[in-house]
Amino acid sequence: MTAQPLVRDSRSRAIQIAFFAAVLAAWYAVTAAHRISPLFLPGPVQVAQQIGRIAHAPTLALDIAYTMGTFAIAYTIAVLGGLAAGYIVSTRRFLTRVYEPLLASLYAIPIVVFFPTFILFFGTGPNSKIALGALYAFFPIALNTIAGFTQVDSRLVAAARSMGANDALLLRRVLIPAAFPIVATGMRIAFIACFASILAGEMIASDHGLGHQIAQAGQMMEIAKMFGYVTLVVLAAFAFNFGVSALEARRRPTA
Amino acid sequence: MMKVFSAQVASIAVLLLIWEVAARWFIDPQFISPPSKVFVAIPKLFADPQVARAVGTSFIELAVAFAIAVVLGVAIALPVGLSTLTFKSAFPVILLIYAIPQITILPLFVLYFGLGPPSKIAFGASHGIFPIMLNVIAGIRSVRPIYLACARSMGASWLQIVRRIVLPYVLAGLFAGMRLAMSVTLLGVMLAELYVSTAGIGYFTQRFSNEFDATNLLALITVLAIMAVILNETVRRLEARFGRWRRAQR
Repeated sequence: MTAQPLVRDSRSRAIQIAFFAAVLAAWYAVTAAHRISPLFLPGPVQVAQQIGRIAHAPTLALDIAYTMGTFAIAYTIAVLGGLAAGYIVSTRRFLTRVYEPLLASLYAIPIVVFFPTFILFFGTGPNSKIALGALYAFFPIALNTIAGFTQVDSRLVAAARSMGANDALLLRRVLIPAAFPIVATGMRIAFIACFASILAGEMIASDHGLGHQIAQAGQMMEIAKMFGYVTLVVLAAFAFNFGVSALEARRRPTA
Repeated sequence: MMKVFSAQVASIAVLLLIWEVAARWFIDPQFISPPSKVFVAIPKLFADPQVARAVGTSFIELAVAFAIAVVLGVAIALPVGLSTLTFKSAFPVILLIYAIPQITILPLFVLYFGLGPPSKIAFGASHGIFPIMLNVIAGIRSVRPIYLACARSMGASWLQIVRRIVLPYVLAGLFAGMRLAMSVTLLGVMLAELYVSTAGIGYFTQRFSNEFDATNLLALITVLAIMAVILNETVRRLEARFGRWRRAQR
């Protein structure tokens, strides 16, 4: 499902731009006419002013560093654990048949319900968010690693073996390249899940971080400020998505 | 098959044993409680009418949110999927909105829908609607054009084409979407419950963790987790039933 060629279609592009322009215009019109209380929906101008204020505040850099630091640790743990567990489970058919369904069932549990126990265990600091984010990211990476390594065409493996490849060479030259696209998809899903769950953890219980700022502004009824922080986080998420799509598009022709 | 199943049971038993040993002898009982105590606590916990009502409330929220997600999702997906112009225009917009980390706008849902169940229902539905839309749209778009041409050349009416060719693809997409939607709707409802709640499950998890009552907290969470696994399995079976023809075709 590629969005790239679709976007180039000029007529649908025009409809998309018109759609966003209409949403923005309606937002401005409704708020400028004072039809809605600014407590419920602040106008785009107010939100833009708040973004400017947030950008100049010294706390922004600290909050970003806090949230991204937590994220980096959680994601690293999940990648290492997920790749290792997924690879081990994929090496034997029996292990795959036993543990793949177990992991898939566990993945169905909304892990966030365990968050209160993480707070009991690790406190309201970054550790409880690391535990939540790492668990959320672990499952898609482990499951996609299993899927990636078990779907490698057995003829490729047989051919490499018959030409005398040992285990290490087989892994490096055949298994990893063949499994890579599916594993990368898992890592991308995990990236988003990890980021969102760390924001969620910060919103539910934290004293620092971007999630905490959003929740705090919401509770103080400073809705324009909340919109400002939300806009910044959403822009960061879009930038990330765009960057990954561009990377994938560059990889595709060679693959 | 038997061997696989017994290995699965054994793995779960080993995990429970590690949990039991760790909780009994190594970790402060304020933080964790052994499974033997947790499972004994479950019937007692549910004898409390307040807890039983809270769990009931959360599951009604889940059911309503899921129903809204399915109905609205299909209602949006059909017009978007059925024409190439609307597909090309609207699909990238849907994907773009889907890329927003929805948790960030949770305070808005509380602001607009209040502290009670409506905000949980709305937040859950806002999660569940995306997998439904994306899978139904993908289902419609995967109808092979040759089938449509064949049916038309053999004189099928518009209604016959929709019923005999498009509908099976829509259903296969819908059931695939419903499985994903079930788990994210549950996630959305639980997130909203944990964020702010006056009577639901979120209220009790908050209370038990403030009182360092690990036994009741884990009992409540265990029940939730088991229910989530059962729900997921139910929807997965449905998906397998309605998607069977599509796999057979490949």
